[in-house]
Amino acid sequence: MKKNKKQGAASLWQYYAMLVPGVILTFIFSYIPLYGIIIAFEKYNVGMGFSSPWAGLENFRYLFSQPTFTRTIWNTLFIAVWKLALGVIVPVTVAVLLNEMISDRLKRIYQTLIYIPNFLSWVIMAGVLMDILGSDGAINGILNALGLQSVNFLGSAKVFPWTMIFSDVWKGFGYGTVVYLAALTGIDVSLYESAKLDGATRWQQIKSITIPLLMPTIILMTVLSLGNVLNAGFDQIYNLYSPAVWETGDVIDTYVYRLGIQQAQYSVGAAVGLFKSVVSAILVVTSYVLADKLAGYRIL
Amino acid sequence: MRRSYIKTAAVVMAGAMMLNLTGCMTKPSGSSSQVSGHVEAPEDIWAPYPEKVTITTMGEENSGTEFQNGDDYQNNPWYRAYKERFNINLQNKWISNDYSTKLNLAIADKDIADVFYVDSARLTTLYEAGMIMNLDEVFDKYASDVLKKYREENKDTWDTGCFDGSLYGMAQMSYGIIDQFQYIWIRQDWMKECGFDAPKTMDDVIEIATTFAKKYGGYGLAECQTLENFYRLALSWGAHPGIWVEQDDGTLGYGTVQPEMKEALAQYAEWYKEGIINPNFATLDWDKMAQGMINGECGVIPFAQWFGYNPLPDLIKNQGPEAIFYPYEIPTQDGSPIMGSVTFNNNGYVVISKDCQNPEAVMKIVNFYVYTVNDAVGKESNEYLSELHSFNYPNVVRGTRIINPMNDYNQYIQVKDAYDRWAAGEDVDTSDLGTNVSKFESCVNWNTSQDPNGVGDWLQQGNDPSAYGIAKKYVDEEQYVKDAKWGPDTATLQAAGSTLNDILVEGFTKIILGEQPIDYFDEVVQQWYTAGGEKATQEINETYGK
Repeated sequence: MKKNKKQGAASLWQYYAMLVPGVILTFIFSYIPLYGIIIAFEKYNVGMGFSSPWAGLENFRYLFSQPTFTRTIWNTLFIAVWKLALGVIVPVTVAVLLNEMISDRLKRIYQTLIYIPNFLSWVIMAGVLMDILGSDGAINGILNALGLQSVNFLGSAKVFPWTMIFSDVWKGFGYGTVVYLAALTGIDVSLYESAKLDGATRWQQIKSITIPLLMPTIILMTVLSLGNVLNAGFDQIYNLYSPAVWETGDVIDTYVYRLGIQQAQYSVGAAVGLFKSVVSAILVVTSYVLADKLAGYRIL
Repeated sequence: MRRSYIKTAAVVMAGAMMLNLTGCMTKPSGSSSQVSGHVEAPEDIWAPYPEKVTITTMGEENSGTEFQNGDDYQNNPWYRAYKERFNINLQNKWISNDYSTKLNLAIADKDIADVFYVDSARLTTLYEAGMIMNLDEVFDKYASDVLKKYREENKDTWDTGCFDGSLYGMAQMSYGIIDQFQYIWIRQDWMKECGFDAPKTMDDVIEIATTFAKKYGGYGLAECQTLENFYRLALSWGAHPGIWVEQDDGTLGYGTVQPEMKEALAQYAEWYKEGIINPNFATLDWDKMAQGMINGECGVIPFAQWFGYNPLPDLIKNQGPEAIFYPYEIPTQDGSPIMGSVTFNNNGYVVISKDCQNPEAVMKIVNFYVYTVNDAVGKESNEYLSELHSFNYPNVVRGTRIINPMNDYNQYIQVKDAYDRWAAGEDVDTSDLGTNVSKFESCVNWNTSQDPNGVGDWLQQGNDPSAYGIAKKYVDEEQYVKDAKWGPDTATLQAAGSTLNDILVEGFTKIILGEQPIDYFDEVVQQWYTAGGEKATQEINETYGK
């Protein structure tokens, strides 16, 4: 490290040279298209392209003046934040538990089983869930057999967001678990050995070795997923919701879809996209800074 | 023959690729579509060009067409007919299964074909961008008399393709208003078993529905989350949901927010409370509702004329041919004749690129389609016409055809007459039926072999009662209210997408489920007005009011 610094940037030119193609490609494909943001401030006409008539903030004003749009922001945040939180807690817990398992074979089997739902598309999953969660579905059958009242998982505005949160976590936690398990295998075994010599219990080992060493991965995964906080899961919700639960289940993406992105309403679509990107960018930067300041964790 | 065709195709493709390459480097100004320059058109609009004229088009892939003998989108009876009759080579620029996206790209790229079809939003886009031709002159000179008659008789529809009084998009029309009416479909084996006659009042309908549910399980009335069946039944109260109607004070208002809807809604909520309507409707999408019908959960459903096409064939496969449903008129509350709702229905607009060198050729193609469904019957051989019109070949010329708006009406009269004669034991000469033979044949197939694929046609046209039989009376006696918005959506409605109607569906659902009292209706309507309904109403009155 010290040596490199002394030699200065000049000796590193090969590395910079290797960086150039990537930087150029990113610039061309990620930065130049940013110009397209102006669509959000225009009354866009495909035939006229970027020189369409100027609309200023009209598209944003229109969107936020819609009485049924504002509630979608809250719904989105509610569903997304819970998905995010449980999407960290559940896989970490499962990964730690799996890691403690003695039988390697069982561990693999569990790992595979919980990973499988992750590969099914929401279109298929929604059909399955509708059958399982319906009033005459399996879950309500079990509830009734236990003498409990049926729950209207998909039709009740109170329950619906939670159905979305839990089914999404259930579908996705296999992936997170695999990532955390991979991180766990990277932990130096000698740490556990010396802890054992000092007489640490299993729980103390988890608390003092596993979790702290897993923290950087957890923070990385969380910050990365924060960028998605305004994506509450279009595929999932669109395939499962109905007018009866729009009150709590209608999110930004599903609303905008109904607003008619299909009917080539580019400007409003671009306005929503921009709004979401700006909010997400702010969240990612703040969380990154906070993680650094409060806990001293840095990703880069 | 085949090999040489492939060779030509390869050469054409190589050429196209080179064109593309140069296209990347230097953007051609305007359209690059001109393969041939302007060729003077002959005086007689039916005469062929003296030399070969090529015009380009862009088309939509459709799964319905059953291509015969190696035909494809470029080589089929229609395209061959254009060549033989007019010396016109219609060249596909592209055929896409995602027409609308591909079309947007083509417009953005300023690389459009000579002729193609668009919806009303893109018609405006193209007009504002100055990319399409003013058709006044070419229509005047080269449109056939029948086509001109279409325009005269459907002036209000054709006017929607005009800007500042000039024609820019030729309305492609639809198969006619006869297909827009609503019915109550009732299961026949149960109806016979319980000894019910055709319902005369809404109470009869409910009695039939509840009896069915008691006796055979399931629920009385089918419904799904869009409330479409409720909207159909609302006609009984004189409401016209979904269309714009003239109110007592002469101004136009939206049918779904009128007081008649409140009455209908109050009754519907009552029925839901009594357990007559499917208790799970609020979470069911249309497919799930249809699945319930197919499983035999319900014997009464308010529905459109196409119930016999979907889901009835599957229902019959599942429940047997006796489980057939018949359509009945929706009874009104006061016993007066029911008034249906008729909306603006136009399949699109044929537009011609501003850079097209031979717009007359387009008119010839359009004229020809119109000719085949009108005066060609009798003049041309039956084989010739049926070659053009069977196997869904007309879909291939989706972009350049204009439909006869009396199509379904005339078809019903012909098919019904032929079928009745056949049923009475007469010999029917199918050559008189022209393009309608297949409808007649599937009616016969249902009658002779209970072929579920024929039941749709039979219930639409052959049977007594049939959906079109009832609808013909509505059309003849003008038993309908025409949507005052006879044209595309206004700006506010376009911007709102479905969200304005969504407010109403959401609120009505709450009322039906009993989560809100009936007076919540007024609040929902208020929400609708605030969200843009007020502005929309104002626009509609300005654009379409008298």
